[in-house]
Parts: sequence; C-alpha cells; structure tokens
Amino acid sequence: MLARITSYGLTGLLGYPVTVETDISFGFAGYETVGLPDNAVKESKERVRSAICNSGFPFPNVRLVVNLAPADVRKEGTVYDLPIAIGILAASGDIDRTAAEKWLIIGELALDGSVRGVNGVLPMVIDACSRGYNHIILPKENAEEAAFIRDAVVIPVTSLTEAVLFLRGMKIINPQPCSQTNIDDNPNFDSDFSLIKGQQAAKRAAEVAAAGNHNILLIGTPGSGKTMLARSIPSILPTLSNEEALEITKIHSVAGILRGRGGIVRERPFRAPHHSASIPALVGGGTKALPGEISLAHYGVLFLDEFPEFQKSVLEALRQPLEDGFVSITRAAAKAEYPADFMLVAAMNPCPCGNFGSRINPCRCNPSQIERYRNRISGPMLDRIDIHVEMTEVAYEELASKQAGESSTAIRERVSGARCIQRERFKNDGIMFNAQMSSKHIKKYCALEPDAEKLIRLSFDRLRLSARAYDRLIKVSKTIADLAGEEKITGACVAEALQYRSLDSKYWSKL
Amino acid sequence: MKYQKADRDYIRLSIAFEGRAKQANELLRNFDSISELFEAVKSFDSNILTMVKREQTEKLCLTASDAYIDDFISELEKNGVSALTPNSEVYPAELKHIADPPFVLYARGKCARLQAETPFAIIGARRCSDYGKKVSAHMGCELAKNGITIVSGLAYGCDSLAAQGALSAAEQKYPTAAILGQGVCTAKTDGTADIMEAIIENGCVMSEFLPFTHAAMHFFPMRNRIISGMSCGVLVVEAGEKSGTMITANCALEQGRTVYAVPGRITDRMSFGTNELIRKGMAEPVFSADDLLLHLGIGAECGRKSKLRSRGSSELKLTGNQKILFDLIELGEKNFDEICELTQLPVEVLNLHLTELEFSGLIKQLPGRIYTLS
Repeated sequence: MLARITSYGLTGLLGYPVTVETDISFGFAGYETVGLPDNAVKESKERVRSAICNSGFPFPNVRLVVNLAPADVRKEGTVYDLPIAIGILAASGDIDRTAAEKWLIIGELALDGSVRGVNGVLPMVIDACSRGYNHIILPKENAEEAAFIRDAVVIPVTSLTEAVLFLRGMKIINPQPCSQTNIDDNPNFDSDFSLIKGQQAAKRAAEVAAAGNHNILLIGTPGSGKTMLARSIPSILPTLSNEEALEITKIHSVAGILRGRGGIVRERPFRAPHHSASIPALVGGGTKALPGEISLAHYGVLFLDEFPEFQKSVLEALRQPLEDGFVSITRAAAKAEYPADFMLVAAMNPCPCGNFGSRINPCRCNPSQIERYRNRISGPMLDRIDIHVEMTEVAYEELASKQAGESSTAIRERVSGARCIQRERFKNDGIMFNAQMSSKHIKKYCALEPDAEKLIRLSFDRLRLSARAYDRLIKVSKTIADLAGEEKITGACVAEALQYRSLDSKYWSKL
Repeated sequence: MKYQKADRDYIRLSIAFEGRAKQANELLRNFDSISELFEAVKSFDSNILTMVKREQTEKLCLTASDAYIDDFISELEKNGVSALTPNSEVYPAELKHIADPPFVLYARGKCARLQAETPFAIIGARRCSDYGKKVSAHMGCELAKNGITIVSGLAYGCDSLAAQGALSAAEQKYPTAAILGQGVCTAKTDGTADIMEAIIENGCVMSEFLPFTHAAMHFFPMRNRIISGMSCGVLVVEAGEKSGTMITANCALEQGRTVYAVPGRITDRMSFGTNELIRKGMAEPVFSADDLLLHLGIGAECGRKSKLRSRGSSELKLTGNQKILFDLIELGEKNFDEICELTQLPVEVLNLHLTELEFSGLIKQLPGRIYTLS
C-alpha cells in the first residue's frame, strides 16, 4: 500500500513541495529512506519508529520504503519526521489515506511522540500558499509564525497522537487564528533616546542618518556612549509595515533564531556581531548557504563595534551588499539569495589608545600610529558611510542632570515624516531613501538655494572635497532638508551636513 | 665634496664610535691630535686596548684602512649625504665651542649656506596643545621672514610645526635646519616624513649618527645638545615638567645660550615647564615675535601687539547667535556638547552657526569636536 503525504523544503528563502511517498510491501522487515536525504533526514528513521511505538500505534513489521520526491534535490533538516510517520500510519491503514493526503505536514518528532518546532516555517508557508497548498499541519511552536499568512489554515499539533486523532476526525483542533493584526504600534525597545545624556550632536546625527537611511560612523573615546547610541537607533526608525515584518521573519525563520520568540518579528532587528566575525558569519554561507548577520539585520541596524578591529577582508566583503541591498551566496551544495538592506552603524576609537581628542585623558599615540589605525578602514568603505560623527566623554553635570532628553517616539515621528517625503519622491525611481541616490538622482532632485551653492563652493576650496565627498554632502543635506520640510536644499542644511565630515577633512590627520 | 685628511680621520672616528662623541672624546684626550690616534691604531699600539673596549679597537683598526673610508664616502655621495667635520668650513661655528661637539654631522640638503645665517632653535613638546601648535608655527614663520634660520628637532608637535612655519615664509631662502635623533637616510616613522622631505628641499637635515641608524630613545638627549649648541638662542614653546624639551633648555643654559620661553596658563600641563623656566629666571619670557626679534637685535619696536592676539567680537562686527558663540569660544576652547549645554540652542542651529564661523576663518575645529579660535 502506498501513501503520498505533502511536505515542504527550502533553498534559501524559496520553497518547493516535497512528496513523501511511503510504500509497504511484503518481504523481509526493513526500512529504507531514499530521495537524497541528508544525515538529519536519515536519522528520522529512529525518531519515527520510536515515536510511533511510544504513541501506542503499531509499527508495521514489513518492508518499508520512504521516498522524498523530487528525488534529485538534497533534503535537509527535520521537517520530514511528522509527514513520514503519518505516511507510515496511512500506508498501513491506521489513518484514512485520502484524509491525510489533503494536508501539507511539517514537523520534527521526539522519541516520546511529541512534535517539536522546525526552522524556516514562514517562508515555507508563504510559498506553499502561493502554490495552493493552504491546509497545513505543523508544530504548535511554529503556529503563530505561520498564522501570519491570511490564506493559510494552520492546524497546530503538539504530538503525533494529536495529529493522528485529528486526521481520523476523532479530535477537533481549531485553526490558529490569523495573527496579522498583532503588529504592535508601540513596540518595546530596550533603549530610548531620552536615556542618553548629553551627546546632542551625535543624537541629531543619528536622527539624520535614520531619516535618510544613511550609514553612520561613530568615532569616540571609550565610554562616550557609542554603543548605547547605536542600540537606541532602532527605536527611532519607523515601525515596520506588514510586508517588512514578513520579510524579516522569513530570514530569521530560515536562520532558526525565531523559535521561542513567538511568531513574527515586530521590531527592527539590531545585530551586533563581534569583531572576530568571519566573512560567512557576516555575509552568509556554510554548506547550507544560511543567511549571515547582514541579512539578519535586513530593515534594521547592523552595528559593527570596534570597526577597525574587523578583518580587512570581512569589511571589504560588506561593500557590495551595502550597494545592492541583497547578497547572493553560492556554495557547492546550495545557492541562495538573501535581502540585506540594512543601516550600517559603525563605531571606533579615534586612535589605538582611544583618547585622541579627549581633554581629560591625554592620548599616548604618535601620529603614525593613529594614521595606521585609521588606515585599517579603506577609502571605498569610508565612501559608503555618509555621516561621521565624533563623540567625547560626557561631563558629570550632564550625567547627573535630571533633565530628560527628547524621547525616541518624538524623533521617530520626524524620521517617519522625512521617510514619507522620500518614498513619495522616489516612487518611480526604484529606490527608497536619499542614501541610495545616484548622481543622476542628485541632479534631478537636489536643487540648491543660492546660499547653499555658495557654501558648497566655499567648502570645496577649504576642505578640498573629492567628487564622492560632494555627492555625500548633497545627500545628507537633502535628508536634513526633508527633516525640515524644505523643498530645496538651503544653506543651513549644507552647513549642518558639513559638520558630519570628520574623516574627509584634513584636520583629522594633521597633528 | 672634497674631504681632506683631517676630515677623513673625523669620519673614521665617527664610524668607529657610531656617533658617540663623548666616548670618542675621552679616547682622543690621550693623544695630541686625531691623526696621532690613527697613527697609533695603524701601528697596533697595545696602549689603545687599555683605553677602549676590544670591539671598539677592532672597529678603529677596520676604519683605519683607506679603502674602507673611500667606500664609505662614495656610499655617502650616492645617497646625497655630505659629512661636515669641525675641519670643514660649513660646520656650524657655534657648535665647535660646546663640550663634546660631534665629530661629523651628516647632512642632507643645502648645508653649504649654513655658515651665513643666524641659527635660532625653536623647541617644544611632542604632544603639545593647540596653543603650542599655533605659537610654534607663528614664531617659526615670523623669525624666518627676518632672515633667521630655524633649528628644530623635527619631532612631531611643536618642532615640526616650527619647521613648517619657517618653510611657509616663502621669501627666506634658507629657512630651517633639522637635527635628527636618527640617521639622515632612515625614513621617519612618526608622521613627519613629508616635512623632512620639504626641509631637504629648502634647508638641511643633519645628524651626528651614521646615515642609516634607526632612532633610539637614548639618541634624543644626545641630539638635543646639538640643537642648542649650534643656535644663538633657544625658544621653548611648550614643555611638560620633566621632558626632553626641559633637557634641551638646561643644555642650552649650560652652553651659555640665552633661553626664551613662551608663558602659558598656570593650569596647562604643557606650560608647567616654560612657566617654571620663567619663574626661576632661567628664561626670558617672550610675548610676541617682535619681542624676540628685538632681543636678537633685528628691527622691530618693543611692546607692539602680537599678531596672534585675537580680536573681540565687537571688532569683528558679529551679530546675534554668532556673537554669542564667538564670545563663548573666546573664553576657552569648548567641545560641541559644552557649547550645546551653555547656549541651550538647538543642534541644527548650532551646526549652522559653527560652520559659518569656521568658514569665515574665525574659529576652527580640533579633534574631538572641540572648537577654538583660529
């Protein structure tokens, strides 16, 4: 007897249906899994046998063949445990075959017959629904995440017994209610701008960066609050739209960092990899071509603390995704494309000892040491960072002052406003933010007031700006204009943008 | 350059002792003249062994050969280095009278003009304040304009800024000389390599150490005696309480040179040394470049206001917020956060006015977003 159960597989974020065929025939008792299973799938044999026995069902003592079709694609992971168990029971007549074959089934089994959660449920469900498989049985652990898709009828199960009883029609399990309306309007953040004392300049720079999705480099003495500021940046970014939340959740689901966090990702991600990170850790990779930190930071913030301490090759690998907003990972066994549209927040000390520019602790480095330290960040990398801001240690008076700064909510409103203007402006250009403007867009959209033009000309002579630095200056000026609601770039906008150019000007290296 | 026999003997001594003039002098005191020393070396006089260490004797024997010296001199010429000995005409005249004068000064650049000028040393701390930088560059430039050759140690900080200031005085043909604590053909690694190139172009770089010697800590106090020794006076711009700059100042006093010091605020760490010199009466306070020129007997009237003195906001006809900011920064350098706190102006307004003031050349930004008058 033959049973055909539908399950699902993933390559990158794209899914494909997998038919789990189970055949029972007479002959010596045996169990064979075919269809390019990887180790985790091969081992399912033992889990399935124990789970069936421990759930009180008879395990057929006959020749068993399980085929995972399409048979030429490598199957990975533990999602096939439950469909195989159901298939065996259906093939041996314990469950009505036609009832079981209607459902798409995924889930991992424990030896006692309970069902465990799996990775990548959301992208599977999205893909399955688009192909018409919208009746899905899956682990309760993943139910919330899957129920985010409106079309899906999601039956959460906690054990094999429950699934069997449901398919026999002996137990009614209500489909998981759709959770799409659950996105919080006021998500909780661990950090808020009102908690940061002093550092007005840096806070304003962060606001500008958030408004135009500019990458930002924080340069400051140890303890000046670089990390705290960076951690607070997600709190001033606009709340996620449903589509954005879905895309982030898809990636996090594939990476397996979603479990136990209850379904959908509602806050903008904040990823802060340690500076020992390798290229695959940051960009993505491994034999399964899993997403890296830059994809996990999609629509959120990638914070690279101790920026010059990262390996040079790792930083250079970031350049292309920074430009494109996505990354293609190719491995012998797998290919995948992940989105990676993130805001880069980098932090560094001004010199090896960290105290250069501090008035409290004198710096102990000599000029060439400082230069060597700065040179660890390549020119092309710096060119992709629009805003550089210096931070110095905060005086005690400021730390002790009771006066609360502006809250993140107020700043977020301004940022959202500026982003709205940009969305409207670029709706036919295929870009979303000022930071993504090319020279063509700059020419088209960035009209200058006469005083702004005068100031830019002056700054060219004084600061010896390069052509790239010019573009960067205009982009940041445009964002400042958007924040102020100005149509054209005014002199004031340029004047402010000029303050975010620490590494451009010569004064940094002149000692 | 032609080297006479005496020159060649001095070079021999310099090679054998790798520039350590003091030890070489001790040895030389046992002989009537330098040529006698090498006569003794050539005749394998065993007395020499009792005077210096064995390795030194071996080196002396090695350098005593003419072929060796010829090789060395041609190597020098290949690298554009000339060797100045007390015997040669261009050797700084003042230097001959100090204790332990260097036997050879290896020089790159236009050393032929050295004799014709009035050398004056400007020295100061490496990690100097912005005030120190400003004063060094200003003094270097003003003195050079009046035909004085600036002598410095070309360390980063005050020294190199004084040299840069001197180089910027375009009308002066021979603005600066630098004395290094390393060989003149070894690359500078402390970020002053480009200034050294500029000096070789317009002035000269000298060292008593062999041309390819690398810098070492104990070389710096040794070269300090040359800086003060070849100059008619020494200006100390900024100095910590115990510092190399103070060593040079003391050196200058021992050599009978006049020491001048730039007074600083009593709270500034980098002015402890200079203020101390003035308090003890060891140094003449200097309030402007004209002041100094008068002391040196070159033109100018006393009591003229220093060109470095800042102008007030009313003189500059500033208005509104710009005036507030300017007055605030005039009271002392402030970082952005302090300005923000004190003025309570919104950040975007501050950014605007600070850029305007910066562009009109009234203030400037230092590392750490500290603003100061320029």
